[in-house]
Amino acid sequence: MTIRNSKFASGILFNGDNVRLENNDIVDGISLSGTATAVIDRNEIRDYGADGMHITSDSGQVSNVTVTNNFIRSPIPEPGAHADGVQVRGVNGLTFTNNAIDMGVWKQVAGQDALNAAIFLEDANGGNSNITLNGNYLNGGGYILRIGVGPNQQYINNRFGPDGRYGVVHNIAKPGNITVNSGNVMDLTNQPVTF
Amino acid sequence: MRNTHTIKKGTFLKSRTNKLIATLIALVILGIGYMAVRTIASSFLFFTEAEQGPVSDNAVIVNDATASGGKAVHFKEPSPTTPPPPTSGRPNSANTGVDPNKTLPKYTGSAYNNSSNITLDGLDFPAVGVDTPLRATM
Repeated sequence: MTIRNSKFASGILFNGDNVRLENNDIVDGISLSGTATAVIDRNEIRDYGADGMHITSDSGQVSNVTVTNNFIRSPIPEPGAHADGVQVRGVNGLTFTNNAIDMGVWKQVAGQDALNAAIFLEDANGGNSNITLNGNYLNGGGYILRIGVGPNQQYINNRFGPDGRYGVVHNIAKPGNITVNSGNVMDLTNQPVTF
Repeated sequence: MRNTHTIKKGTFLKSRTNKLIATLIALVILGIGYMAVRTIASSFLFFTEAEQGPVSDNAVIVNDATASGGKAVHFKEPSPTTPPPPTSGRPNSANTGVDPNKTLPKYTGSAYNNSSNITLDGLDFPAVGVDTPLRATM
């Protein structure tokens, strides 16, 4: 299924293979469940309550996902939420290139933390493998980037904004999981981000 | 009057040898041409049809009466999921999504089961409900 140049008022959930989304305006996020092969390009994803993009292998292995040139912004979390710009819960083959994911400045809702991360790679539903983040702008959340275990993860030339409440990167990957780690810097100062 | 067009014996023999050489060369060229056509992009020592080998995901074997062996390899159109090239510049509201000034027709199809290999272009998908996404099941 290909959807382009369209508007979504309450999000969209894909449950199937061969998805292509390009140049859409999507309110309340998108989800890929058990999807083999997806291309998500040049979409604006905004005003979401939970996750801007949710990728999950809960109904089958998600694989071969390419996410390029998207603008994911402006979460509107509900009380008790742990909103992510992108949450990944099981994938084999995920490439993020030249996306801007901006959670904005830190905020609480009803006195509770409500933002989690711009990208959260969570070890669930079989885990995450063959991940590449290249040339993205990431900002906001408790930690801007949360990395879990999983083989062959590559982090290249990503730029981090100033709004990580507790830190920039939370990394619990095992030794050897991250195969490439270079050129990651703070956007405002060009200071290297090491993890 | 003396005949000035007498052909010498040696000249005659040379001409005959040249004809033989020319004929041999022609036969060799014809033989190479036949082998090139017959082996169909293979080698002189090994004959095969293209469709007898493994084909990749973007190709299928089809029946074709005009092809040698009655079958041919047909290449499909590029997959709609071919990764796009990266753009320059950081994504923002101006270079992503839809033109905000554009009025789109409302989508009136099923909210819960938009199936199969279709392309939807330039539509306004209304809200399904609070915290209820549109569902596309393929």
